[in-house]
Amino acid sequence: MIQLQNLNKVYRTSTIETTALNDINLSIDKGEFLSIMGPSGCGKSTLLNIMGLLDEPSSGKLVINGQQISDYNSKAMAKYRNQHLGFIFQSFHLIPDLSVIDNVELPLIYRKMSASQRKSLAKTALESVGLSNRVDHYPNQLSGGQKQRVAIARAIVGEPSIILADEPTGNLDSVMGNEVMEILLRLNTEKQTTIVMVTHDENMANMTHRLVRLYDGSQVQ
Amino acid sequence: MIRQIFVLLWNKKTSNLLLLIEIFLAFLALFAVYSYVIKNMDNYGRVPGFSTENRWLVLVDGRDVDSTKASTMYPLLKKTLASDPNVMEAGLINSVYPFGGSWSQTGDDDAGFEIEMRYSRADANIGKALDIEMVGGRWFEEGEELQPVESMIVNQEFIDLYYPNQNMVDSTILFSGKKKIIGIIKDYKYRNEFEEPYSSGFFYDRPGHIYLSNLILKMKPGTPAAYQENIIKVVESITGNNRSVIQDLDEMRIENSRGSWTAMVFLLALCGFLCLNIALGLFGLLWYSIQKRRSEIGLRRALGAHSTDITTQLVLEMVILVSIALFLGVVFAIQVPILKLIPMESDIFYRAIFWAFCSILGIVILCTVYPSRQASEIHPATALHED
Repeated sequence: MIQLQNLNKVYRTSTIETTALNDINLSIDKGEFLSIMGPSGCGKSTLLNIMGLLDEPSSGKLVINGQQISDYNSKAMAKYRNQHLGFIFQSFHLIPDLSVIDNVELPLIYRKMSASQRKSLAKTALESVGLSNRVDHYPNQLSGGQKQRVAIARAIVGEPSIILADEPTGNLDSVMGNEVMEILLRLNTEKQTTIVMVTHDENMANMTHRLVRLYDGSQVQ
Repeated sequence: MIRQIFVLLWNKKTSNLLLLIEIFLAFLALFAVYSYVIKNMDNYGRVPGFSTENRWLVLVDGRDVDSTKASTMYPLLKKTLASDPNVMEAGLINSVYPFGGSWSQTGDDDAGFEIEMRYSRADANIGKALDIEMVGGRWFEEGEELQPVESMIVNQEFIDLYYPNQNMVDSTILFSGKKKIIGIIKDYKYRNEFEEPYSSGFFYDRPGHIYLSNLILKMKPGTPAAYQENIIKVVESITGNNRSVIQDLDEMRIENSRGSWTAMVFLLALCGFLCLNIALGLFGLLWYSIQKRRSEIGLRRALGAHSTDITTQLVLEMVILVSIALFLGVVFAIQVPILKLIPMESDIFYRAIFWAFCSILGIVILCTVYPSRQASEIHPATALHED
């Protein structure tokens, strides 16, 4: 489903050249739950950003569902992100001025969907993460775990085939972290959603199908 | 998206309120100034009805002149000056001459209709001396005083106001006694170039009447200003004093309008400053808002928004907010013509509302597009990482 071939990412300034990813080769199958681990600054988030079409590799190929993404222009990439990818972030990234349901609807707005259809899908997504009683709340009225569940609902509302989660339990205590992890596992099992998760937590990583370790931008496992 | 924009604006109502008030007040200020300027420019655009180019006004000092002396002195003065090779036409007029600041007004009741008119008294040559545009009938002729009914000339505004759609040439009306309208002139904007339409006209006096103490000379084109010296010598030789003055009517017209121009330029400059303030305020506000919303913009990009979606959203947010303020402004401003709070044509206020609306909306769009486009270029991975 996702293939990375000889992928490199180098950040250049006028004086310094920093290699963030070095010759990454990775193949992720449909329905796989993959975790990426490594010390801070090893390139985990960079790799996830490239898979999420939020960043471009310096060299190498990224193929998703048989399509080479480097051929896409920015509009096609935006459309692809909207229709095929779901994102979960460590710091939730909920818009504080929008209610829970409005936050969840966000990806559907860019699909030019009708308001009633958006609302209905957002409610279903919130139900699936156990937050149907919080639709009109605002992010500042929720706990960390609830915020992350809203973020998960936002990620799955458009039924993407791939979810990219950047340390989704990083800001949560173990109980809430486990709750979030259970939801992700359920999604993976029930809907065959491919999930790539960056984590620092060995226990969480052990719950996934496969673990990839990075060190100084290189794949070591 | 529109609903979400309204939600976002509503949830930031406290911070948006200041901008809303600023735009609302700016709209009202622009509306007031534009109304004033449009009214003035409408009046300025109306033909004056006479010409001031190469026209000199001779202000004869008549302090020692009685009616006996006047009956010989003024006709002689007119005849002598008219025979000057550089003078094409010479006419006598009373103290209500163009741009002199004096005015006379009279009114009457003609069969139940209140009519009034600002007037000058003039002889048979003033029509040609000032090239007054006629739209019907004729100008006064020599011996007009011998007519059985006193003659008068009125402007088109007089007809439009009191006798609309009627052919009034050679009609007799009751206006300070019986008067016969012998001619209709296009207009006579003698007070200043920004004068509002007003019923005005002329009554006849024969040369030699003590009222007709000033002369208007139509000079040959290219006559130098120094030639006034020759004219004044002739005047002094006939009047026997050196207290008479010559003024260029064109200069008087320019001088007379200077105050109105200055006021308009000053007010428009204030408006320009106000608009600049709005522009800078919006620019700053938007930059600040974008910096605060970098992660939101990054998130929207990650969730599938293209850069044009971001630009559209940010511009729409500002346009909707400003439109609310403008709508409130329009609601207030429109009361002026509806309730007739100021006695001016409604059309002027509607045009002022339209231009004030367009000016502010134009500024807002101009000042919003650039920062919004910059914001849309925010790299999503960077913006999301910053938070």
